[in-house]
Amino acid sequence: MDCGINRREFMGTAAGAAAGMVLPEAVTAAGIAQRDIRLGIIGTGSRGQHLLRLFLRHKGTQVPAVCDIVPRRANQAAAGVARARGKRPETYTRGPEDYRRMLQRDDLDAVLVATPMQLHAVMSVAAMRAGKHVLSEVAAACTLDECWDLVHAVEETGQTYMLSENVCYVRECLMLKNMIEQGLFGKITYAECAYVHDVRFASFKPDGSLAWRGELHVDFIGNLYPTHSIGPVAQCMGINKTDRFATLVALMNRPECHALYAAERFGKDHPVTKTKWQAGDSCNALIKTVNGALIDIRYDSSSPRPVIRTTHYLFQGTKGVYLYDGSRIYIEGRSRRNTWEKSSRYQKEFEHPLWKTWGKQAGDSGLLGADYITTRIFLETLRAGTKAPIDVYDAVAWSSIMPLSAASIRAGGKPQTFPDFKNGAKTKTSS
Amino acid sequence: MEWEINRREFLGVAAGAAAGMILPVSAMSAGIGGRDLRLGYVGVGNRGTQLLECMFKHEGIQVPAVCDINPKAAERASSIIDKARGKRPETYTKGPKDYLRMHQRDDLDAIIVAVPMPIQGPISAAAMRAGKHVLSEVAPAITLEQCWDLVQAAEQSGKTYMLAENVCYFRDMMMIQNMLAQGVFGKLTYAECGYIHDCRHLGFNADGSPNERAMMFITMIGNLYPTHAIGPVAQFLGINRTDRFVSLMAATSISAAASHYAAKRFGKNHPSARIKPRGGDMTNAFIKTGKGLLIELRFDMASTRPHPNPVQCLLQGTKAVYQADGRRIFIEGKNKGYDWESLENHAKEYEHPLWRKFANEAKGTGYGGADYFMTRTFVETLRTGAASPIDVYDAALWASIIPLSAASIQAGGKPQTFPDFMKGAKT
Repeated sequence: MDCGINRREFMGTAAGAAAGMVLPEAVTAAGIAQRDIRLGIIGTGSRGQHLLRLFLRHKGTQVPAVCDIVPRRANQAAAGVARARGKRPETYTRGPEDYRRMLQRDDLDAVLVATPMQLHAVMSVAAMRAGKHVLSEVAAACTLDECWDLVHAVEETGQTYMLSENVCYVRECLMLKNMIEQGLFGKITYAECAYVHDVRFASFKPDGSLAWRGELHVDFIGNLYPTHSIGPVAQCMGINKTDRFATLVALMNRPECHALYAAERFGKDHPVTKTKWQAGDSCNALIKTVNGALIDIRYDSSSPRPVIRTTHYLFQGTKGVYLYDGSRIYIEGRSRRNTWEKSSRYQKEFEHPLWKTWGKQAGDSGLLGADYITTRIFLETLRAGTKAPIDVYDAVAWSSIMPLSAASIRAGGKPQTFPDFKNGAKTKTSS
Repeated sequence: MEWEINRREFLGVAAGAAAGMILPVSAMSAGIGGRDLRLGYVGVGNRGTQLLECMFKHEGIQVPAVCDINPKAAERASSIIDKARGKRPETYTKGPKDYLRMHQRDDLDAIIVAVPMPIQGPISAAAMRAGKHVLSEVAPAITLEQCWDLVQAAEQSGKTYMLAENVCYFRDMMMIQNMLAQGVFGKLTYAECGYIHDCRHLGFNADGSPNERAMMFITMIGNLYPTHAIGPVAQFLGINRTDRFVSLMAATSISAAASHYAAKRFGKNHPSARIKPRGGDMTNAFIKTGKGLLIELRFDMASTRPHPNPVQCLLQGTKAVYQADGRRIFIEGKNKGYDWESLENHAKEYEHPLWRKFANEAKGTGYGGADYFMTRTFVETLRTGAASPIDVYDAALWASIIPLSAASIQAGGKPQTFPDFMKGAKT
């Protein structure tokens, strides 16, 4: 079988990249090697349909069921599946709880959750408890309780959970990880990451009512979208492998920009201008790791600031430093003294094995290619029965930044301790 | 009490100066006027000498006295003064307390302090108490006690104190200041700033032992050099005028850069290869302001990183954003589309009036001409008797980041409240 050959290639690559967390590692269960993988989709908005198209590009996939509260969206997705696979999936469109009916099907191996962020955890948990593997869009959860629910669901069901954190698979991030793992940066002492992206337009529906992003800024405070920033940093620094997040402090400014935008776009008399915005425009946090590294993580999705790149990374090691803005790099002994050089100079020498394997099919070096690899890896993980490369412990450690930053802000900047999701849960299970 | 009257007058002036903080605005007391300004220099090392040469760009400057523990440095300064004014100054080189003897002269209007950081506070306070105005190099103080002592010395003596924070006088920073005065940024909401400058090569003696300069960085924890970063931002935000620093929290990384450097330069077996500074390589802090703004402040003088421009700055308003890295700016309605432009594109409209007028005179002075504008401002302040644009309250507040960041780190990141230096001297 075609997918079997791919898998052998794949596992060979993985073995070559021993320390590489982005690849599935040891086999944990029998995989789904000998037949098509059957996926259900919860949430067929623009993101869900985009990922669905990618799943249909991969060989050996079937999509028997799709679910969305908007029938038009579900039908669009169903039509796409019908075109690609010659068989129209069943649609589940009877309101916000209809996904539960879909989860009762016995012909689904896995579910993609691509709904508004506030629903990711509850749907993922329900899917695992219904015996389905899960690929969840980001962030994994909005509260600490949801984080624990996810951990318990994985541990109790043994299903595979993977977070669809695509930035980890951007070509440049992969190369960087490879360089860091090969020691070119020496010891990593400090990292910065940020999601700074003015997406105020997406906080509102066309009629001026709030979309889920807008609702987030009303219902929550803190870093409301941490995984695109922290994901690649955590992977490069071996978080949950050789190091762990210890504590976090956070601060935010006052919300100003959403209100200004709303008044400008919908008029001063529109009801939306009365919205009580809770989340500040900017939320910054500092994370200390157990090994003593410092991570600076920033979030701002409402200030008027042109995008350089929607995400930002900086890695500081004893021997080298990398800056995402401008793709600048400096490696002691390689770069000219005190002079930045373009990171592309290192692309050939330090191309990540994953990109060497799938780069051609992925095509694009940016997020599109990253989405290809993310979905592909999820499928390969299920086929091989390996551990997810971004597993539930990663997902909740990264996502817990949202509730922990909120708690720190509420306590006037007081440091918050990260729960030890891995060992905490183990203790819980054994007791 | 006399100093209280001074303080009230002083604060009144400061409030009026909100919009154009980098320039003296209205007169506080009788100035020195048109007569020659007589300056004494304490510390004529590299930086002191640079400030000495820069000062002679201005009219009516006399330097009757210089002081340095190193007689060679004093002699070098003496020759520069002789060449510029045809008269050698008296030199004070009898050890580390000889500046006190110089302070006693009655022919000095002001003292320029450019000594190692730990003693800038005490020497500046002593100068004011001896009836001299002061221009102090950065940082002005390293402990809260020194900060309060400066405030008290200024209030009790009524003398003018100015911090020589030259980054505030960088061309770009003054252009931004000018934009702010014209409302280009809308309401300010957020700022980032930092001083990232690998200075490890300056920290070791020839035999590989850490030198005196390095000792401060090895023995102290926290952001040890905050003013270049926070100075311009504090002025942009109107700190001590229309807003204030409320609290600060800080965290530091592990320290690995210094030992790595020493091992490479002096060998793995050299004792410095095991050097363990108390502070980490990178120290970050968040400052909350009274109006609810957030400032992020970074400090790293050890990590391996190219530093074409060691001073970081990002200023976010509701209508515009500026980033020093890349000299990028976005102004809503002015930029084409939603994209960055070079600050230079807006220079024609927003160049600071002083830079328009004196750019030629500034040429060749330190830090791209910033030293010219900084020293010029000090001279003007004394001549007109205006309130100092970077006064003792600014200096104490900015310097207090050093001890407050240390305290926060030691308390695991716990927020520390800024002292209210303007409320009056500590009882």
